Amino acid sequence: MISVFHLGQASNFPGKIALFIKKDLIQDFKLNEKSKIILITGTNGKSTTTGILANILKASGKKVIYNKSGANLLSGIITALCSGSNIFGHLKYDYIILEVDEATLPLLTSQIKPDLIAVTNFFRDQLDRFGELDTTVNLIKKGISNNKNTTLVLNADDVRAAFIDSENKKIFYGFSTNAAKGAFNNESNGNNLWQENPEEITTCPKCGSSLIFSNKFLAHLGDYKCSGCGLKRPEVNFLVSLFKTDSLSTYFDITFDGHKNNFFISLIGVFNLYNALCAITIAKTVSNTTNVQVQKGLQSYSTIFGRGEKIDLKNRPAWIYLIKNPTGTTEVLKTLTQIPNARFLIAINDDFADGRDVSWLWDAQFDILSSHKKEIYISGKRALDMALRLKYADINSSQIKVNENITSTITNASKSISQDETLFILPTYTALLEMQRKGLCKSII
Amino acid sequence: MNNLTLELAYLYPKLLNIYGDRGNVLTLLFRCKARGINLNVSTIGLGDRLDHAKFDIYFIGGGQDQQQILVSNDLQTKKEGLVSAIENKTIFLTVCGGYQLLGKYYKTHDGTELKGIEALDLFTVAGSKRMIGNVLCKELESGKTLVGFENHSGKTYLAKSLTPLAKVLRGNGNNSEDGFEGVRYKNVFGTYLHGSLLPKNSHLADKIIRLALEKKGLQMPDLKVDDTFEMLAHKKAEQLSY
Repeated sequence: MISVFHLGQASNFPGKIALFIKKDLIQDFKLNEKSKIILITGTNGKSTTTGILANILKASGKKVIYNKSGANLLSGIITALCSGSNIFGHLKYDYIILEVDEATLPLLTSQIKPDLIAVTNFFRDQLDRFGELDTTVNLIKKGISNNKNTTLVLNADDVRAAFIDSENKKIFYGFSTNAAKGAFNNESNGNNLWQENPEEITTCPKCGSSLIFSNKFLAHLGDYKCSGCGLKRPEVNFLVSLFKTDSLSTYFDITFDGHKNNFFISLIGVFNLYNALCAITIAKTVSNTTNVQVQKGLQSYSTIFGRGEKIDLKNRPAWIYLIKNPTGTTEVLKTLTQIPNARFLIAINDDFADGRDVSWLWDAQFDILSSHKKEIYISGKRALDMALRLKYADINSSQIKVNENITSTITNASKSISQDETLFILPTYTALLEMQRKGLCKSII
Repeated sequence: MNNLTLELAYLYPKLLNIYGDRGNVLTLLFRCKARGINLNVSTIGLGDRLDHAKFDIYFIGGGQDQQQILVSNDLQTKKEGLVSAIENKTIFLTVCGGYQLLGKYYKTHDGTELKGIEALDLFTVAGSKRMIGNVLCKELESGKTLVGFENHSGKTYLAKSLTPLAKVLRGNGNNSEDGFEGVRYKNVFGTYLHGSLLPKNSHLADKIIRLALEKKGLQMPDLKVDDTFEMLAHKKAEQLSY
């Protein structure tokens, strides 16, 4: 059965067919006795966390298989397992890491016994229906209740994840109240705009009273206490005690087992720090990986994936790659132009946090795009400089679509490109912040 | 028509490369090509021999102090040829560090004097305040506006005998004291403007190409290049007051 579907690059299709034929197929896979299954779920950050974790464990010399970014329904999971098994269904891996859609979790855990389930967070974007989030929480709760021996790794800063009702062993990760001191005290560089995320009304999962936050790190994620029953954030086992971020990287300390450890990752944004923290917490929980191996994994993650972030744009995915300097931009262009049917939107601002001088555009190798035959969307305050840069990189002027307004450019682009194409958005820092502020990225965590 | 060829020497592209000045070379290449002119670009690094008879246009950009020290030393070995090229009306476009080193010296914060090639009677002294921002100025020769971005702590002072390139309308220019920007001597253009300079100031790019052709006894082909983006980007930059 499995051998038949041991084929190709597709991320969902083989699994879909296989499931159609045999519903409980997943039980046919034969695991090494020692191999561990890790499931990562939650509304946001699953793909990035999975990717970082896979890299850390690989850097620790482990054999790892994981599902492709976004292929987190049962079909995608089966497809990943098919491609990683031999024709007898043997999976010879030390770790099987699966990002799992929240609704899929109960289905999956009724058939396999995971060693660990991580719950990243519960975010609701403004457009979602009321009540949906509780449904999601219940699905995950049900998925966990199938296996009492599974260890849970939970985001302590998200009250719904932290207080998921279960008797399982729990390990918590989160930020220290003072963690962001180093990151946001530089008023002039505009980094504190990260804190301008849409507010969520957060209430106590026990008594329904409102929560009091001593600090919020990202939207509703923070250090909280209930104003009614006294419930408070659980004690955190893996604590980001300090972090700093520049335009390209995040430098952070994680305190665990009484020791402080420094790491850095070439990703920016508090959301990515949460993803890295979750991955490190899992890695340290399931393996004896050293700090050096963790750091090696963090570094290999950034080289493999760039700084890509997947977002939802009116029901279709798009990818964001922050661009800031010539080298990074050139690397991003080199990577993305390899992808078939890629379409590009470039948004250049010249605010203080971007650098006032747009000269750097001339040191980036935009000529990599010269063989791109489709229209390229250009936006931001310095869209015209960008347009000129493309023109002098031998891109036909008629291909260059200029509109300084980022909102309408993204709307136009997502309407104009066809279903088999993928939009890659390359904004500078404040252009990205603007997209977030205007709700253009529904879920950029 | 097809035998129109110009040779450009691009000096120290590996060392003087952080302010996007290479855009100037890209612009010359593009606008030459659009007119059927072959522009051959040779890159010249530290220790490379310079065949002065060969080149019609020289370009030198800006870099950081550390790189500029290396360049300053290397330029001493090329000084004689460069000075005679300038006197011979070869075209030079020099930006920031490249501009400073055409003069007598650049005195850094700690008092070190980086030697220039002494082709032009000007000198530069590091000031206490870095001059950073968008610049709008008016080219003296043509009355046309030039836009760019300056980022320098060096204050450059021209001898009375020298003419500046432009009058500053907004920004600092040479030294933020006398209200002038850059230098214009024979076929030399020296300036503090990055941005890059030529893409958004296509009139200056075309002037450089025309001068290079005329020096060889050739005429600029009468072909119009579509300047829509150039004009719009220029207009946009004219409004930037930060």
